[in-house]
Amino acid sequence: MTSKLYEIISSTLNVPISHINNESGPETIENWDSFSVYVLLDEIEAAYSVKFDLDETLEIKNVGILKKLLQKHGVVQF
Amino acid sequence: MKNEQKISYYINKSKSIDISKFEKKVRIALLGSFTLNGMAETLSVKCAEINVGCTTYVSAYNQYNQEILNDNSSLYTFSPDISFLFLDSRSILEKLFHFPYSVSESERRQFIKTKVEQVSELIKAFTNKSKSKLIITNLTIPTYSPYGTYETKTSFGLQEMVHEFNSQLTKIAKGIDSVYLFDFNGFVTRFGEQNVFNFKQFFFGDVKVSLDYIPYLIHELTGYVKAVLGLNKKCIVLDLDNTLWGGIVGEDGFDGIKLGSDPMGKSFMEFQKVLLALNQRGIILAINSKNNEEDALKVIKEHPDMILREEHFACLRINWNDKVQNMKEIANELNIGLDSIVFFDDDPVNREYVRTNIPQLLTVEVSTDTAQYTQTLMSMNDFHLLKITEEDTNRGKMYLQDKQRKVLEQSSTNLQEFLQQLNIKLTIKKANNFTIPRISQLTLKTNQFNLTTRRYQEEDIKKFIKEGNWVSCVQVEDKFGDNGITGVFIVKKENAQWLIDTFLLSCRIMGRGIEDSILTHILQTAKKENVKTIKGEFIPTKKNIPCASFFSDYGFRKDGKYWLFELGNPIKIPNHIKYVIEQ
Repeated sequence: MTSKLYEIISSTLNVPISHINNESGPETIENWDSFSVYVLLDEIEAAYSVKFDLDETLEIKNVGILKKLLQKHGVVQF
Repeated sequence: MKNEQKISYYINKSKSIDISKFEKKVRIALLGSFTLNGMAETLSVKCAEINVGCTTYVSAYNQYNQEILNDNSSLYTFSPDISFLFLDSRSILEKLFHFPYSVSESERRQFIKTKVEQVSELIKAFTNKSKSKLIITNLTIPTYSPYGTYETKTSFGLQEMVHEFNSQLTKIAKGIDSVYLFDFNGFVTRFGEQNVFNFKQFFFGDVKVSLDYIPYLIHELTGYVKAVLGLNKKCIVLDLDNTLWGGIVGEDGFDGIKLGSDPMGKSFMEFQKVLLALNQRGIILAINSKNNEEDALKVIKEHPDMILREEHFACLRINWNDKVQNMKEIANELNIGLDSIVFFDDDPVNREYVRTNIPQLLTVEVSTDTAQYTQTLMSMNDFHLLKITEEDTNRGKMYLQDKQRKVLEQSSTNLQEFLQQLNIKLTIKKANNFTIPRISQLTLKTNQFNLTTRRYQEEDIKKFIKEGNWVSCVQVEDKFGDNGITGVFIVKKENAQWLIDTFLLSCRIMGRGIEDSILTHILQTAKKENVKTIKGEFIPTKKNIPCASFFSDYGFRKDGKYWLFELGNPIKIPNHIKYVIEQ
């Protein structure tokens, strides 16, 4: 179900897919820093043709929140 | 235009680069008034793509002032070859960026004057402390003004302030050899302010070049790296059918090809015009096309809408032979390396064939849409030079003269007769402000007849002279014309023994006894100054085989890694060459 999203996270943050879950964030993913997460969002925006608002961007603390945001923007499958 | 990969591609890719495997290396510092994240990674990848190992240094966030002014900063410890300084309107204009009209016109003028002085001091400090090339960006001219449509009526308004800053910066860069101005405003104009500057990214992390456009920006900056390292391309080899004109001349006929006033025809004419302009500044053009030579030449010579004519092509291979073989012959005839050639062909099969067989040659990915040809050519970063010299602008004419020389050579019964008839005249010129740029350029790009292949920037040449060494260059003329400055030698004077540090000839003039004459001149001069021995070096590379036996042929004897000539021995004097020595 979540393969496309996980693939993007995996390739952008250089982390194995098996390490990714809803709780994944700066504590569990080494490369998750303020710049790389922005690169990640840029990738996700392009992949799902969505645009996050600035405040939404700042909310994203882990993968679970990211999924909720995508749902909010009408993405049902990721 | 080539679409760039996204930034994440470069960031990931940069992690797996092993720079130790590259022969050519470069150290690049990035300094800026905003976040430069992602730029160093992109630069490393783009350098690796051209087989250059790039080590980068990124200044601490907005610390460029301190780092440049402080002698002991990590910037100078890093010791860059090339440094990019990114400036931006917001940082430079400070509060006047938003509130330009909160102060009077004279205060705005004073503000810009002060800012220009500050940047000028910074540049001077940098050039005093570092031998790195410095590439400084100009500022984006803001498109928004609180004055709205009245902005352009306003005396020394916001936009004029930035214009003034940019034009002063241009003047400064023109006045210092090692400083170059990158037209960042032009970059933003080309891609659009709304694309390059993304408010969300700016608020999020002070990102002033949006992530998607960093690769485009770095692509342009890589052009400087190529120029500094002498990796620029010298020649464009072109196909004919569907490349220089639409359709196939063998099938559609002289009148049937698309070239001229219809939309398709215009796309080819425009492409040809851009090629001609490149030719006029020194890029060699050649043809490699499967075609009936007669049909194709008729178009080139007689078609009313052809922009490029026979005289613009230094070499023509219009035949049914193998394209790779043709390409090798072209390189051979023009005496240039395959790695300094760009190939432009509409046929993907031909491209793949050439790319596979001659990977060092740059085969351009050409769009199926002919409207894109011009754009593709204009967006290439392979033709930049740090300086365009007289030799560059005259190159087209020189290759034409070369064709005439070849005709004479073929009609001569032996080499000696040919050389006698050429009436070669050498003018040996001491390095000076006029010749130093060309001397540096030749050391950077000459590969074949180059005994030591030592690469020197202009600053290095000046240092040699300052230390009392002998740096000269050689202008070569003959009955067909002036080849310009095509030889360089640097002799280090060590009392009774002189060392030939550098000795090179442009490949165009090899094999005419010129190299012997120059060496003779060095030996005679040394003898007059009571020097006992001349020491030469040959450092072999993949490309300088043509001069491997130069010293032994002349009569030097091998001594360890050096070649020696005792000045008590007779010096040979080639009799077909006249010298003029300019002091």
